[in-house]
Amino acid sequence: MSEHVFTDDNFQKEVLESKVPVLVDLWAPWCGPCRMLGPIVEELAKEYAGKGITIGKLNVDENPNTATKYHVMSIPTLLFFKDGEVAEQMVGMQTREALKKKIDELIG
Amino acid sequence: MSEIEKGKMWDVIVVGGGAAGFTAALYASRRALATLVIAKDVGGQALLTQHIENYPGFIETISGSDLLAKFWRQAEKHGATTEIDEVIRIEKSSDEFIVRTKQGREHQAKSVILAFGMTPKDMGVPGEEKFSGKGVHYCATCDAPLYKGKTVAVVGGTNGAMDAALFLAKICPKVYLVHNRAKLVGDTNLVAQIAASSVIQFLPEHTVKEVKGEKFVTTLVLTGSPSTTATAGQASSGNTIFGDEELSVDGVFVEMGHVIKTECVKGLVELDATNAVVVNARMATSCAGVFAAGDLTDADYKQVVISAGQGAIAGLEVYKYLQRKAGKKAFITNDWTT
Repeated sequence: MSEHVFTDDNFQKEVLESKVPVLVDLWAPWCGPCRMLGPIVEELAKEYAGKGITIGKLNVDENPNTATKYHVMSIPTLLFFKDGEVAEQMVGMQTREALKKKIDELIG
Repeated sequence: MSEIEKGKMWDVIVVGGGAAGFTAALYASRRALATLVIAKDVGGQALLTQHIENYPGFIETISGSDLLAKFWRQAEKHGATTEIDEVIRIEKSSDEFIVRTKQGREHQAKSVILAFGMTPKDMGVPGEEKFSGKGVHYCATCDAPLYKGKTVAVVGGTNGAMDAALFLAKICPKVYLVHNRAKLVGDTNLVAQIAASSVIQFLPEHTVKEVKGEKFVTTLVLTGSPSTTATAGQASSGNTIFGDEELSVDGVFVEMGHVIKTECVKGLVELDATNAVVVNARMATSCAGVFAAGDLTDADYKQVVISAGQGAIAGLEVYKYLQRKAGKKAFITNDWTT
């Protein structure tokens, strides 16, 4: 499966209770850098489908509770969850290579 | 660092990931040059524009982010590599260049293209860097919506600062507008809207002294002039002459305009009085092997299409420079001749 869409409603089940690590791309439509990072995350979601990690995005406008809970003050922010906890956080633009490296570390 | 070979000699390092940088990288990589783009952020100032209507070929409007995403993808498709990092110093070492970055990396290249454009002006006060991105922001368009329902301060007196304050006033209960001058000068319509707002409190003749907080920003420390401090009625009981004022805020938006930050090339290339990199018509700087393109040059117009055009010239000129240096024919003649 390709990119997941996380929401305030499904966050507990799909992210915090996930049996595999989860990468959440917090974004908003008005955020220019988010729109540049978005396609990279989508590609990685396809590339890593079925490889022990769930990759998806969460729109902070539509899901403010999650953004507030994790003190997201600048987007794009990438949160890497492992066993319900934030294992890693990356703020701002990332390259595909840097993201892949981080994902491989997380699932390695 | 995994993807970048240690000790690798790049044909060209492009510093900056905006319209000029990615176009330069596209042209250089299409000439089979080993091309590395090092950019603090990707996209440049084009990201601030929602609707670009004057980039040829896009008859319907395109957002700056969508357009620059295409620039980036196209440069990488042709072989350019991108690193997100900040270049802090470029040095010439015999015939090559050493490019040092904030993350402690050191890259070597045979040539360099400067294309890092303009940078938001910072306040230069304690706490600013520590909270950058965590309460101190330089792009209201990008980060303001995350401060819905919070108390914020906008620092600056530009049209951009007024725009930011007015936008924030729609979603925040309290917005301070801190300006070091007595009056706001700019678009009269914006000035009138600021004056009419019940949410925005204008603090003229105040300068920011410090940003304080624990994990996140909690306080903005201001120093006022004698007159305004008296008006504010918050004269300090401490030793300072005019007194400091502390504002409880969750976020600070710095909107003081943009500057060309050329510290990393000081002494390497000629700069003009405005700190812009001086280039000739072939985008060559005063230092052989260093070219420049886009908003950091002394060109009069700051437009995506102009940056892209300058980037293309710089990419082709780098190829020509490297060919000549290697004792080969450049093979790029004027492309309108046979």
